[in-house]
Amino acid sequence: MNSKLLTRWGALLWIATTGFAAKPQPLHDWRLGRLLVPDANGKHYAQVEGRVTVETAPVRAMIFDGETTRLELPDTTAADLPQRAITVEMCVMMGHTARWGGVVGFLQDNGKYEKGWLLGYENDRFSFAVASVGGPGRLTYLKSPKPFALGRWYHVAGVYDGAAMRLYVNGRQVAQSAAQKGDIDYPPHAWYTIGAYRDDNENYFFKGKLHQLRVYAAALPQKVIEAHARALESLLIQPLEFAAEPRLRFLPGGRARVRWDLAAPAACVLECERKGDAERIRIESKKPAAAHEVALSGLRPKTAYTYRIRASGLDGDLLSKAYSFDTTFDYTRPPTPPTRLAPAAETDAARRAIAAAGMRRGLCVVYGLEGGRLAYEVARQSEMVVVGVDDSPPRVAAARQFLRRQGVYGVQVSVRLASDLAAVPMPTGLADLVVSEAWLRGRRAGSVQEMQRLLRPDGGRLVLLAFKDGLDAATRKAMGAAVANAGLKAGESAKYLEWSCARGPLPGAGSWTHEYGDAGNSANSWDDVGGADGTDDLSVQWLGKPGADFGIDRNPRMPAPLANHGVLFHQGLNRLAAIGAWNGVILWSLEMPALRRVNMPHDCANWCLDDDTLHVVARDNVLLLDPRTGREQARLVVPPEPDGPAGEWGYVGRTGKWLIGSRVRRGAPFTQYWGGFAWYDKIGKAQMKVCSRALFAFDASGTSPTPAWVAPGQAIINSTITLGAGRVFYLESRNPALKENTTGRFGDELWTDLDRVCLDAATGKELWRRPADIAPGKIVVYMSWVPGRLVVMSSGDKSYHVYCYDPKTGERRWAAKHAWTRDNHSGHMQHPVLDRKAVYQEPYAYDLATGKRWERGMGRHEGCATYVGVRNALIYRGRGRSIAMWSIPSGKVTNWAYLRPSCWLSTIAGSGMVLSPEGGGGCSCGNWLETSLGFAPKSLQERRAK
Amino acid sequence: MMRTKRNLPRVWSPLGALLAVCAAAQADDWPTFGHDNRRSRVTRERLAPPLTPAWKYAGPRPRPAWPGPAKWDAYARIKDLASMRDFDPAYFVIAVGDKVWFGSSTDDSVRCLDAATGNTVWTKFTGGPVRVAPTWWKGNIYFGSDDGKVYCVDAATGEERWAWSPVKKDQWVVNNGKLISTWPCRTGVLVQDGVAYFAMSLLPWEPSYLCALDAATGRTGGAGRFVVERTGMAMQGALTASAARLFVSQGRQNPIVFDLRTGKPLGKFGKGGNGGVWGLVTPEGVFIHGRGQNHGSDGELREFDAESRLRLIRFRKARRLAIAGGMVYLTGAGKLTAIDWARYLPLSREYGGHGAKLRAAQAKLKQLRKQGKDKGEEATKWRAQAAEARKRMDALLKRLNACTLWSVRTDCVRSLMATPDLVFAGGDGRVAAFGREAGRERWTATVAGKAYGLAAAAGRLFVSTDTGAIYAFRPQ
Repeated sequence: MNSKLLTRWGALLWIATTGFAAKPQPLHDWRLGRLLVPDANGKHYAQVEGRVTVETAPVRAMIFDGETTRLELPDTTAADLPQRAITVEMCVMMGHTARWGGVVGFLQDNGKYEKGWLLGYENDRFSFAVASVGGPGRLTYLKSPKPFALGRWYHVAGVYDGAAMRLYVNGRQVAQSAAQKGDIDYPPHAWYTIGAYRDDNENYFFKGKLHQLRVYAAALPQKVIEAHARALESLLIQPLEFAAEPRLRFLPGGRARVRWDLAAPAACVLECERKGDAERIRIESKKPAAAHEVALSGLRPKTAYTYRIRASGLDGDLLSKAYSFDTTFDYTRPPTPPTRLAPAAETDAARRAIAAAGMRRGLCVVYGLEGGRLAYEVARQSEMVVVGVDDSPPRVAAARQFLRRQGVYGVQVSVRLASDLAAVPMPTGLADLVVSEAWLRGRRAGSVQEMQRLLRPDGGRLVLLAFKDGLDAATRKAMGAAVANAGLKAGESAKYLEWSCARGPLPGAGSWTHEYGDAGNSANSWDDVGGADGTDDLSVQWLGKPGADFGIDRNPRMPAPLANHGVLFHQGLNRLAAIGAWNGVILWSLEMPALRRVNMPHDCANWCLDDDTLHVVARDNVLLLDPRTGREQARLVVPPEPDGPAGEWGYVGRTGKWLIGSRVRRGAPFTQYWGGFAWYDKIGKAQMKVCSRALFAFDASGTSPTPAWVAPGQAIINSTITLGAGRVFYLESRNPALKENTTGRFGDELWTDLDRVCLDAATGKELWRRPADIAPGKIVVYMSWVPGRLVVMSSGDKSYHVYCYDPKTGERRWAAKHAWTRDNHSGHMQHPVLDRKAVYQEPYAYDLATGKRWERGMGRHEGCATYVGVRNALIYRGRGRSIAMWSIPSGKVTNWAYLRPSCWLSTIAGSGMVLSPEGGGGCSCGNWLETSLGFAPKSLQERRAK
Repeated sequence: MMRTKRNLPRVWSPLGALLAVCAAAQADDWPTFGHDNRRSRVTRERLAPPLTPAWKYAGPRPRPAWPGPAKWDAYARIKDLASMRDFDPAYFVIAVGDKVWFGSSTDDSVRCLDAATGNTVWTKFTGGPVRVAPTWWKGNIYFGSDDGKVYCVDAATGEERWAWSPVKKDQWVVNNGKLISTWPCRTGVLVQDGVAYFAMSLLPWEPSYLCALDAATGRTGGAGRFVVERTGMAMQGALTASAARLFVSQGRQNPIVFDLRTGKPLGKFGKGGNGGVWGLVTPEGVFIHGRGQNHGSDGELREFDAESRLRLIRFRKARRLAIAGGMVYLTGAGKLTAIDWARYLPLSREYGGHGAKLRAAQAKLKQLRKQGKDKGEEATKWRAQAAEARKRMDALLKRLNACTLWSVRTDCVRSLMATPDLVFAGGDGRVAAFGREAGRERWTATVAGKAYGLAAAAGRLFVSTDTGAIYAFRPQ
């Protein structure tokens, strides 16, 4: 045997043992889920006919509408198809049942003339048909014994080997026949069609989704079919339905906690893997329960993970879809916990100060250093960012060396040298907590007034401790004198002298608690912002994270950020973060797959805020979260519609003691963000309005799981739901034609039988209902309330129509109309801003009392954002497409060059500041600064200078 | 910069002299970011694989100035947007003689390490992150900090020689938990002809400062020294210089060029939004910059005439590039490619000329269209010019593509450095060396993290990764 022959035998042996030769290669492997449909070889392109839509999640799939969609290969003849043996397999989701159903085939079945083959369905059973030259002269149809369920994925395979036919569903053989023998008997003329049962006499369209479709010129063995089905397990296994989808919260040290709620108690397993890594972590939550919480650990920094939840159900395992998270957005302390040192006065002092501050995260200033130990202890005992400051280079150097040795320098603690401790160049109000190591060790450093200046308004706390051990009388006296007249609360314990104070809210500070500022949709923060009426009156307090990677993009018009009591809330791509408004420190964040809503001009926001709670909509639920810690206080579920379609939570707003909500059809809110459609600016489908089928009220404390009242409706336009003076106002269409709607989104039919409605927020009782009598808001329609006035703005026919009513009676006070500025880039969908005197609708303002138009033009908007109000100015996207301010008193326009907001509303005012979390970085279009910023009034800094 | 005669043997035998000349010809330092002020990333240091690990400095993970870019531009359907502000993903090193220096964005310091052992020789703290690699010049180390100052320290001891800020009264802002100046130095310091160049800049609506000081004394004033104050700028990333010009990156804004002697702005390169922080200027007067991204472009490097600022051609999907020995080596799209620069350059200039004509014609046609004159004789003339330019550009593109000498697949595309006979490239979890002749992979080593920084000196290779690690490799 020569060496060449040996090599060949060796190769054959290798093929036999590895099974390489057995690996089947499909003749056609259709790449569905793309608008162009090539097969795997890229040689054949199916000709797409009819309406074609594709989806990419959970898998790429083509959607067949059952009326027009099908794929044809007009040049394919019988000679191009398998002759003797054939396997046809598909991953399919059925969307209907039909007497004659085909997914793929090449056949004629006309009376007694039956030839070719077909994989499809008959009524609610999958079927596989073949006609052969040695068979009975007609097609043999194999049918699965069990019906298929609509809306579920199946792997279905039909196999014919020249002697037997077999039908497999999800890898299991469900039917077989030996009726056919020999080569496939093809008709001379037929259509190789995907998505229809098509021959000379029939053309029945398939309705459903196709993920995979393969045709082999071989009969695949059962084990291969099983393997193919197994590979699709995540699709085929019954999906796990949640009562509330998972919420992931990062914890310090590379850990995370995941919570979820099931509809029925079950034991669960969370399976987590690093993207691109086969290794899978399994964390069991063994106890059968509805509410689950597990902890993940050992997470790597800046790494993407996916996870699924598997639950044991009565009908086998249930598997959730795959969720993802990325530790890039873990804003907690880095994963090396500082070590504990021998106890010292600083250990105790830090503990007391942190307890007094009542917060574990935020920014702490250590004012005056004596070695850096107090800064270290605050860092070790909390999750705070710590900044030390002193005016002595040797003290600064010593503290840095000490903190570096402990491994926290630059990571959690930093130290700055200031030339004058009594006037450090720190921005006013940056600190959640101010302590002094110098004072603790008996050195009366700097000035108490300067320490107080550094305190964050609305809750910042100064805790000055002096260790009594070794404190001489003179120093004690001097300290007492230093704090005199500073308004500090004095105390004394066995070890310490103690002085403390908490800073109150800034006079004139406002808030941004709902999509348009307040529950009345005034688009006004009512914030004085230190009297600022131009960008020159504000200075940057902080900048940094979250960055553009946190968000979806600049275009899909996401919900506005919220701010109250010194905390800013910002939504990203299925995530949210709470940020210290005065220092930019991220206090907590949540990764929530169910958190996404876009196209605000045609819907309503998915969150709102009050003094104690952040209310966040997550599909059917509202989560009540502690604003400062993110702790979940309660979960409320949308009241179901008796005998009605499945719903989800739509509107959420706060008034009095009530949390007002609405129910929309499941899937009605816009969530799509990809492509030009998701700009939601072009006139057409993007202008469809999301409407609710009911309004309801819960006790806002979350203590009762049942609503106080439910008021059913037909089509309550979400963008008009407005709260004020204990009332709920909205527009509702009672057009009978709307009953046919199945999407929860409505177009021009809304303008028939349209009413203005007012309910009592406490009881849901209808207080008045009047015909809306407004111009159709084909582009947008909004409603706003301020004390004594209710305003409706509808946009259509190239005009803005403004109407003003008495909120008590609904009687019209005045109406006005003017041309919109343009029909793109939100020039046709601006939301009005209201203050006590006027309603501002670009480019004019109308006197609220009389409707008289002020001709003095507002600063003209550029780009897609909408206006928001502060006491003396409107903030908008203006000059140079950057964020600008138009002074209401003077009409002067100022701007921050190269600073871009999102494409709707991302720059707000609240807590005495202008806050602009990053919203425009996804635009690959310009010179943008691309960062989150907080602006504070310069007048605050100037007060210090004086 | 060649090592000086301190490295020459003391015995001056004829053979020793010959060896010394060879050694000098092969030995090179890495005294500034990108090796030299042109940021060539080309060294005369000959590294002979296989290399073996010498030491590893395990620093804390760097804290870049800016978070990552958006995941996509969904409206324009562009995925994988390139960061235009990624100038500090790792601790980039410089190396001269037996020492290595780097700045830290995490603990706000500059460190000097022993190049042989990796042991720390000294640490100099500043008040803010040091984001760009220091520069060595005449025994001093120069660097800028987010604290708003530029420092000059003794290279051997870290002792401060001078520190300077253009701002009389600083105002700090909170930046990701640290207090930095409103005017941080994020350009590093470039020293040329005894002058230290740097910028203090952050917020476009605030003034930015471009400064040129006497490098020895830190003094302003005198010929060739200036402090220029301008608004509307965001100067960041290492500066690049030719003999007469200073090229300044601006993150998401397009780069700007200044007269090196006066600080006078001479104009910007490319379109607004064609930003990036990666720059290189060639001895032939070509400025290559990127990886900006603007509506549909793919995060490429762009080639300009440094003098006229004329756009020449784009290196599509290119991440990093070095030009050595008449060859362009570039990484990107999973490949390392070599291009014949001598042939490519004149063709790209010609291509750029026709590109300018095409743009001019298109602008004119747009103007005529607005005036409703797009069917007249003048419009026909401009359309013909555009068509002719397009035709010539298409033809040139084929000839430009034919300049590619070889291309090999590699996952090492994050960093690039050329030695006399090798091209080193850094990737995710590894670094590799390729032969310059044909691109054959000659050596590879694993590292933890993404290898963003490469440098070579005294026979050693230094690799900086995004985990905060610095690796030193030496010949076996």
